[in-house]
Amino acid sequence: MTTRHAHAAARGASGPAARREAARQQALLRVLFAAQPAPAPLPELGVRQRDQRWSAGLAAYRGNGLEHAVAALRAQFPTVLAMLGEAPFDALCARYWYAYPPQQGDLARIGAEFPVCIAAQDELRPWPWLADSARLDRARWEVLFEAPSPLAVQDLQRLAECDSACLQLCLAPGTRLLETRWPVFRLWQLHQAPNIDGAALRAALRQPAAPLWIWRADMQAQCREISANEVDWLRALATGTRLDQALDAAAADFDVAAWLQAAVQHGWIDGVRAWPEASATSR
Amino acid sequence: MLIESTARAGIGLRQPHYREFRARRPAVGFVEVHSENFFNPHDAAAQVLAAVRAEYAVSLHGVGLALGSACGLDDEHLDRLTALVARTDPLRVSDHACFARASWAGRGTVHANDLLPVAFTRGSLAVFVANVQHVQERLRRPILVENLSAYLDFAERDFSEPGFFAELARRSGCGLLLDVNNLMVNALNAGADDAQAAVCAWLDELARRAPPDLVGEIHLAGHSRQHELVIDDHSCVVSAPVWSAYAHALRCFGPRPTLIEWDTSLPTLDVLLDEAAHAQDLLDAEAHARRAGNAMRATHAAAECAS
Amino acid sequence: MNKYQILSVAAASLIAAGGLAAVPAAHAASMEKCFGIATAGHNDCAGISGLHSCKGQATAYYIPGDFRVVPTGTCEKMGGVDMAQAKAIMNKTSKVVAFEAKVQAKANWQG
Repeated sequence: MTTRHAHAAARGASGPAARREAARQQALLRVLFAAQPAPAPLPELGVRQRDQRWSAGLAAYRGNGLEHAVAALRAQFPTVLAMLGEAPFDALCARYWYAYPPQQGDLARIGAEFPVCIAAQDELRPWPWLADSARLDRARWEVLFEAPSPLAVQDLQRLAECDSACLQLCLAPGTRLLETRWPVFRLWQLHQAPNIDGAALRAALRQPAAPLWIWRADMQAQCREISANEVDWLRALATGTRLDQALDAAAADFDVAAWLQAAVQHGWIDGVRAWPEASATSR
Repeated sequence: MLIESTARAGIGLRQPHYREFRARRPAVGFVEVHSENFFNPHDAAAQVLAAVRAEYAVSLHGVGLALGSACGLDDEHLDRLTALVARTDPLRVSDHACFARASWAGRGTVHANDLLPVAFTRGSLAVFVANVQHVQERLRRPILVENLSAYLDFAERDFSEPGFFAELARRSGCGLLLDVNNLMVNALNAGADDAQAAVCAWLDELARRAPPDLVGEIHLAGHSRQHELVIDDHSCVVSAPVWSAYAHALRCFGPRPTLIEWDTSLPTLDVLLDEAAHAQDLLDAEAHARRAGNAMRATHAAAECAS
Repeated sequence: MNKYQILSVAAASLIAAGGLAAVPAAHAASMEKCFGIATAGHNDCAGISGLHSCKGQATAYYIPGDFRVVPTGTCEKMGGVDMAQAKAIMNKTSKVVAFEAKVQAKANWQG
C-alpha cells in the first residue's frame, strides 16, 4: 500500500454554485484538521450554529474522526500500543491524524506514515526501537492486503529446465523485508504474552538485531529473522534482477535449495517468468 | 405489490458476531455490512462475507464514497467498490448524503473519513447528481443515498431536506435510504418541542414531494445524549419515539426492507435479533393492513401523509 | 554444482515430491477458521464523538502540545536510552558495547 495521489475528478459538477460548495467544504475540512478547534465558525462556512452549540458540533466531528482513527491505528499497531500504553498512544494518534490527514476513505489504509511520525517525536527518542516496531506492525498489516501466491508447477518447471539468464524469480506481493538495528522481532514475540516480562524485554534489547522477513500465510502474517546472506538474495530478487545475477549476488554459502523449499511451502514466490518479458511485471 | 409482501427486517453483521451468526444461521431477511470493511479481497473477512452471501441476501452500505464532495469521487475507491459489488452481487448498494473529500494545499485531496454535512443548495444538488450518476454508471445499478444526522448545518439553502432528496432522486435515478433515527437526532439537536412530530412532518413532506418507492430501505438505530448534543452512536436499542416515527414512515411509504444498525457497545446477537423481530412485526402489520383490503386505512393514511 | 544447478535440481525435486500440490491447501484457510480470524473493520457510520467519556472529551477538544507522549506501557519497563547513545548505536556498531552497558545498568537499577 503506497501513498498515492487521489484522483481529483475532472468530471462532475462545475459552475459557480458548485464552486461555492467546494470552497465551503475546503473550509470545513481545514477547521476539522486544524491544530486547535476554532472558537467561532468562519464566515465562509455559513454555519448556523453559534457559541456553545458551534463548539459542541465541531467537537462531535473532530472527536468522531479522531476516535475512529485511534481505533484503526490500535488494531494496526498493537505492539506500539503495548509499548506506549493507551493514553500516550492515543495522544500520538492525534498528532498523527493532524499531521497526516488521510487521503482515502478507508480507515484500514491509514497509518503508512505512522513509523515516520513516531521517529519525529522528540519525546520518544529514548525508545529508538519504537519506529521499527511500528514498521514491523505495519508490515504484518500490509501483507494481508496482498494476493496469495499463485505459484504453479509450470513455474517450477521453468526453474528446473531453463537457463537462469532467461528467468526472473518474482517475489509474492505479500512479502516484506525489514532491516532494523533493533531486535524488534524478539520484542514483538515477548509482547504476545498476556503478562509482558520487563526483564525479558531488557534482556532482548541486549541481543543483536537481525533483518526480518514478513509474509502472509493462511490469511495471517508470519515473520522470521533471516541472515545477511538471505537479505542479499532477497534484495536482488526484489529489485527485479535476472535470476543468474541474483544468484551471483547471493553469498557462496547461501543455501538456495533450502530457501526454495521454504519459499514454495510458504508462498513467497509469485512466479518464475521468462526474461525479459518478466521485467514488465517486476516489482 | 411484491415489495409489500416481502419487505423483511435485517441486521448489521459485525465482527464480534461472525462466529455465532455462522453457528446459528438466524432467520433474518438480510444482513448489511459496511462496504469498505470488505474492500480487501484477500483477507479472512472477504471469506466470511462470501460464506454469508451464500446463505443470505447482503446489502452493502458504504461510508466512504463521499457522494457530496464537490471535488469529485475517488476513482480508486470506486474501483474497489465496483469489484466488491461484482464479487458479492448484493441486494442493495448504498452510501450517505455527505461529503468527506476536499482538495488540500500540498496534500492533493484529503478524505476526512467522516459523514460531513452538506448544504441543501442547488450547487450541492448538482454535485450529488453528477457523483451519483457516475457511481451508478460504474456499478450498473441504482444506489440508495442515506439522510444524515448532522451536528452542524448551513444557513444557506435552496431546498428543504426532503425536497433535496426528492429532487436528487428525480434527477439521478437513485433511491433514498431513509434513516429514521437520523431524523430524530436532527430534530432533537434542533431543539424541537415535539421531536417525534417534527420527524413525522419531515416524512409527510417527503411523501408529498416524491413517489413512495423512492424509499428503498429504512435504517433504525439507537442514539445517546452526550452533553450538549444527541449523538447518532448506534449504541443502544431503538427508542420508542423512533419506533413510532418508523410506523408512520411505513404508513407513508409502505413496508420497506428495514435494518437494525448497531455499531458501538455491540450487544449480544439475540438483542439485535429481537430488535429486528420487532421491526418485522411492524412490517408484517403494515403489509397485512394493506393486503387485507383495508383500503380505507391505507388510502386514508396515504392521504394523511400527502396532505 | 553451482548455485543455479542447485536451484534447478531443487525445483525438479519439489515437482517430483508433489510439493506444490499441497500448497493450495496450505494457503486456503478453512471457512470456519476465517470466521475466527477475521478482524473487525474500522469503517462505520456511527458517531463516536467520545463526548460521553473523559477520554473522548479530551480527544474531542484535543490541542496538540497539551498532551505529552510519555510512555506508560512496556517502554517504561524497558527503560530508555538517551538520544546521543541511540544515535551512536545507529551510526557505529562499535558503540553497541557501551549501549549494552547502559541498558544493563538501567536493567539493574529497575530490576
